[in-house]
Amino acid sequence: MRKLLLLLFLFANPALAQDIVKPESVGLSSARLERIDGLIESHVEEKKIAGAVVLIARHGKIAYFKPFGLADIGRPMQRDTLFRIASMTKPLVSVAVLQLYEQGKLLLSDPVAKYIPEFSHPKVIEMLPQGSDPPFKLVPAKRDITIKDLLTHTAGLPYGFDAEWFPGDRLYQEMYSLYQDAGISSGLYETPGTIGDMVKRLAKLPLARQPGEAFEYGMAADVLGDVVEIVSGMRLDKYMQKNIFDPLKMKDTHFFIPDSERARLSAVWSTDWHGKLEKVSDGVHHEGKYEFSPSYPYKGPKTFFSGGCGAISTAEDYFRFAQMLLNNGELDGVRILSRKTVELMTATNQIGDLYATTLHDKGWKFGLGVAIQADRSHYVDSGDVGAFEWAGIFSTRFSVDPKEQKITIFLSQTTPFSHHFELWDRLMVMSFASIAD
Amino acid sequence: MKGFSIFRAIPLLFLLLSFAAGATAPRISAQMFGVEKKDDIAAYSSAGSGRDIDMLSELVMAAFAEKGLVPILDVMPSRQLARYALSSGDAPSLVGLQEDIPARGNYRAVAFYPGDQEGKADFLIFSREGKRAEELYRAFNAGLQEILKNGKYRKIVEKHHGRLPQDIALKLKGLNPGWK
Repeated sequence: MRKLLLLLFLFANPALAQDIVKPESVGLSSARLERIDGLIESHVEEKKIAGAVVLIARHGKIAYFKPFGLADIGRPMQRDTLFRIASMTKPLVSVAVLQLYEQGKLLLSDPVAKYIPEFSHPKVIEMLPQGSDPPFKLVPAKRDITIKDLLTHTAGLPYGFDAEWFPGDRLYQEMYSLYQDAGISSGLYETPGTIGDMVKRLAKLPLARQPGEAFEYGMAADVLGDVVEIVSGMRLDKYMQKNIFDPLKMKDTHFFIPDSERARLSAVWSTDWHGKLEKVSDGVHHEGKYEFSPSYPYKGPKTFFSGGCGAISTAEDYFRFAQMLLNNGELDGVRILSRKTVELMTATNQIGDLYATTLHDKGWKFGLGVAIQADRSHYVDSGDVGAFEWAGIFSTRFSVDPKEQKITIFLSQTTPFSHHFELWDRLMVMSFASIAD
Repeated sequence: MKGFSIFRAIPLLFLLLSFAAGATAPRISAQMFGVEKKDDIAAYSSAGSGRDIDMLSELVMAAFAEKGLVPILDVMPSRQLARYALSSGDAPSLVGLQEDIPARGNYRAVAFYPGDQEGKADFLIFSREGKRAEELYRAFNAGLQEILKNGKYRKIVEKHHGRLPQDIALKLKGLNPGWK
């Protein structure tokens, strides 16, 4: 019987590239980490989420790594379940841009129009009083948008679905209308054509804000993906594979999922957070002006490599990426970025007096592709000043605490994601509360 | 250095410092990509519109070429933006449909393709304000009638659609009552 149980355990938990250590050996409390079991299990039992994977590591060692609930109907969540990490693609692509920066192939001060001429002479939309026809006017941008503006989301390129989140904001409604008209894709559904085609259209639309004057989270990383293709001369997926995924042994990270791995992908679940939980079927779904399709990683033409949200990954793969950043740019003897560039990316406020409020709160600044906790006096606390992180719309989040040498990763696949702020924030509290040295 | 007093040196130092300040050129400037050229014609290729903007653009440019003009045609990704360009005066003309003629203001239009659906003819819509708009209108109106006669119009449509829709000249005449 013991042998059978052991076999079942091994089958259910495929071999990891890295061992899981006893929490106390890295200064974490087993008892306190176990409280996280209760947090996630209660969310599964209450049918708020179908399942999740949580990974917590310290000093380079994984100390807590558990799957909970279901990945799909009749299929338990596994440690190696694949997830649509959505906007957690953005830090990956930001690293690609910074590699090209380190090679002297581009500068952060470069105007984006140097690589994508359609971005030259940008205009900015200004809404006119309600009832005006036309409802807006266009004014010349005070300056061109730069590579740094894209990395910091200060280029004035929102997502179209911001219109759903901010229904009273006429600017977002107008940007949504223009994006619809121009066929601008968030990348969260099957999209024909290439990212280059789409970015050229995006570039001819007005910016929502003057460059550098507002933190406007959205399409910038898709433009960065196009920049990577233009500057490197490689397709984005090929570049990422060769220069980031392969060197970091992120063997389960892809832009489109190989057919052989399809059965490992989690379903997407719709929740009302009050016990109504349903698997979302393939194809495009609308939550108001927010459009998504669970099948974009495996259906459609698979030609659109979204730098903003196209990647699929596992908790362990993303841990390897996060650990590389925590190690100042290298992992297992392979250097991806220099220490100085990682400091620029993760430890330097790049947005001045602005705040990275999209997924966080005041008190959070933005580096180059990640949010950075600047103080602890606000509602979203990840445990330390200097902690950096980002998240994804299907309910995924990663957090790196350089001071405590700790990484926390939460991966789920649930929509709408706004319910999850509470769960993520609780998990972050319990993660740093498990520190016991 | 005889006669080079401290009183001369101080203004010189100020002068050098002012040059040094001026030498810190902005890395990002509005002139990096040249002066923006003003569009003559706005057009649009909205998602899912089904209009063959390549063919329409070629017809428009061929009509102007017949009169020796090479106007700047800007195909925008959004209908709203193209309409804005016309109504705000950013472009003196617009490739659009009947319903794109602004309700307010002074405009005139020349139908140049009867459209693949009834009532969906394509027009070049001109502002009645400004010399450039007048110049473009005259050239286009005359050039279009010439390419219809000399076969250039037919060649362009056949290149894109395989065949020329029947009675196209007649239909256009019907849509442009001023034509002889």
